[in-house]
Amino acid sequence: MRDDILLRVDKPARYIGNEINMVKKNPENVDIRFAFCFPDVYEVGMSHVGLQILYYFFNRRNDMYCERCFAPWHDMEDIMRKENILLFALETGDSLSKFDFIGFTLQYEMSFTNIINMIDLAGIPIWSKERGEEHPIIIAGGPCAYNPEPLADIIDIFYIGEGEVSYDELMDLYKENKKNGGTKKEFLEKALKIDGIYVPCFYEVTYKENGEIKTFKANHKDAPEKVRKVIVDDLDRVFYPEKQLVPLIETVHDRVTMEVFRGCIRGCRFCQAGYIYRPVRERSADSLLDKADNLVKFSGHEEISLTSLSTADYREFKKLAEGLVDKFSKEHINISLPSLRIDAFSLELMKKVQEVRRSSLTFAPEAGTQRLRNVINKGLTEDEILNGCSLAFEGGWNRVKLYFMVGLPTETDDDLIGIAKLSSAIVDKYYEMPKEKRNRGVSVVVSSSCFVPKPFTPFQWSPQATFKEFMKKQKLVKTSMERKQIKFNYHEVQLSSMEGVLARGDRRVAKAIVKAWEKGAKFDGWNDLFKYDIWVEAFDEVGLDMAFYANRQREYDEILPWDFISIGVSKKFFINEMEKSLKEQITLNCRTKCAMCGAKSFGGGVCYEVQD
Amino acid sequence: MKYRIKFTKVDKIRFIGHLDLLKLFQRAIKRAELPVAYSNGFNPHQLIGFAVPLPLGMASIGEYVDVEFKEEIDNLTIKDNLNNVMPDGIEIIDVRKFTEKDKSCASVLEAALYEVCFDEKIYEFSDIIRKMFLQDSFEIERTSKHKTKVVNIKPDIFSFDEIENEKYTVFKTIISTGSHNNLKPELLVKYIYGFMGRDYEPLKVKYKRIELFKKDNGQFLKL
Ligand code: SF4
Repeated sequence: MRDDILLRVDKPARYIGNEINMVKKNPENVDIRFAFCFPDVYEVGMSHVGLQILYYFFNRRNDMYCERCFAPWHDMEDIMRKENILLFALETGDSLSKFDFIGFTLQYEMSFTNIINMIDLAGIPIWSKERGEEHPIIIAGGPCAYNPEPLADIIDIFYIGEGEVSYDELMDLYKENKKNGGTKKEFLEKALKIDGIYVPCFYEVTYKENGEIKTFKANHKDAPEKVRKVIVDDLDRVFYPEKQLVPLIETVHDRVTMEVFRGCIRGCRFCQAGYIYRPVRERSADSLLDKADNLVKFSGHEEISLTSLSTADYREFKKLAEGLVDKFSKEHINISLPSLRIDAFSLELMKKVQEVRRSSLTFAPEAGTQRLRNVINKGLTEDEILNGCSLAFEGGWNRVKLYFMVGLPTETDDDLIGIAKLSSAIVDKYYEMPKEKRNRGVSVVVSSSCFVPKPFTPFQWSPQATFKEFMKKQKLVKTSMERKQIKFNYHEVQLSSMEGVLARGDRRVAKAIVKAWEKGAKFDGWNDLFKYDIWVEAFDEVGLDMAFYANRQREYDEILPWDFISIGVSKKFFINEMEKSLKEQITLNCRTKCAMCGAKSFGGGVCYEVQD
Repeated sequence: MKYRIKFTKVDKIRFIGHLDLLKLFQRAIKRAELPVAYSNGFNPHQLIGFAVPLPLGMASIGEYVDVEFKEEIDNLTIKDNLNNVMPDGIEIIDVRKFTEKDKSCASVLEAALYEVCFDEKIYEFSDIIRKMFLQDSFEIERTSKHKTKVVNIKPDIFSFDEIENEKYTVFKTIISTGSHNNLKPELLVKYIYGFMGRDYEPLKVKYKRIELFKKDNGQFLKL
């Protein structure tokens, strides 16, 4: 990128590459050039642990060069468009249109317009059917690939599952096909035989008059009727990088991140991640402690963080946490602990690794009453929260953060008022302590977001509240807050409504996404840049009804757009969970009692742990 | 044990700001496995201090940072270990030990040598400059905290030499830099443009910092 341009944009270092541990290769000496694209700004993308893992996974192959690309910020985009500069990769500065593959990671629905914008900025046609042999193959993976349909006419290949499993096979196939002079179509056809690969152009959808899907069928003999996700069965035996890219500028998280396990044993009924990554598979503490040495040494970071869905459920947590503290506290390296279950052990540990005065306790009760927590299967009781707070207050903590959701299935006003009541009860707990112990006062920060029903959860059939209903609900919670020690924040309601539309969208939704992009939508995940009105107009203009996707009760026998994907957890299980939820019955976690969800069929992980 | 380290910041890395450069050094020192000393307190930080920030985008071949280590280390080891882990554009060019008595590079800094390159050859530039220096004062408007005042920057200019160049007008100048008195080279160039009766266009002028100086017995010495 030219210097005179870098001098004109905000945070020019977003575009210069050259970070610590960046992989340098001569592109002439490789067979496959892959551009790993993160459809958000540099600082967000570089903090993503999946990017860090896949970058080195791809680059461990000598025949492949994986480079990175992030969504340029507006100022840069304006200059690029004015001066006809095509979107480029950071490593070589080469335009993306020269690559064999452009790979997007789909982390959240609201990044879809950025994907379209990036393809366009690369000078590549947006619709897959308009692309030819000369264009790169566009592939996408990540959590939103579990409902790939809204992008099915744009992306060539979706990769369903964990990257380490099938990418080598896919790349070998590509190389072979290229060597033999095969066409792109031939490659896509052959790719159908690889596990976890979905090639949307080989499937056809028809619709009923009421808008529901009538049929979803393969139109190629090799296209599987169901695409089953691929997962690693033994994480200790799969590639894990020794190094981490260290940005030259401040990003969202500047630290060594270690993935402790994949999946979650809990089964909260609103949480898609809790189902799509099943079953839980852990790395051993020994291997993590081993890896930590090099990750710290080659990065120079002064903080290590453990990332997983619910790290406190890690069986070897004590060993790992104490091991890290032993190893690194002398070297002035902080261990940042994710939200822990608050008990004597964790408080003791927290005291060792962070300053009590500065840190706050975090709880995610998600719902205000025990009844509603049973509905969503959130196994956290009021007693646990209050006792945890009590212990922590005694230990010197005085700040608490609480996370809730509004708009959950079966929710009533009592549940919403319950949020305020629970928050007040925590304040009361603080004042139960003798006066001399509470000289600093207490602060409780309550954040409330809006529930978005997601595919592959028991609530995938449930209607989402409309944004007007969300506003009413948030207002009720807000006005019920009585104590001055409580600060209440709530999440942008229109953004959640839009997310709700896209999350359960079908193939037709692509038209609306492209229309919204044409009208200027991008960086929609950024609250201040998101423009709801644009989306409303876009859906109107292409003749689609947002309420059809977000606010409608679906029947169990309706064909859902993502039904052809198998995550290993059966539909029967989800129906059963939905029914139990209506009866306010809970389902125990995987380690307490297997609920026979179906994920045992993968042959590993928690389903085969020897129960103590 | 304190060491003064001289380094460059050239090429693309000059597009990172001062705080990011500090972080970059902290991590590099860790990767180089050098026994850096830490401050006391609950949030200890490495004892390192730069002479003066370099504006974002400006190149330099004469930057300085002081680093305190827990023990004595060979100068060359510090240099080599750091160079092994630095990103392109940052190179350690000199390391020297200094005694406890020596003050920090930030506090002794008095002046800096800049090289300024225009993107054109200005007609009869030396004449213009000669005439300019015949004036008693160079008055410019400086705005600080909502107040605008007129200041004379002539006393902050210690030397000014045009450099031979066929295509472009290039000059070197030593001007006040640091916490006592600080003149941004850009202000001087703006003044020159004003004197020529032209508008200043920031993107047409390239600046490079060459060296930083302290004052000793009225003489400028490298830090
Ligand atoms: S099969 Fe049982 S143990 Fe395995 S993921 Fe499903 S519920 Fe959990």
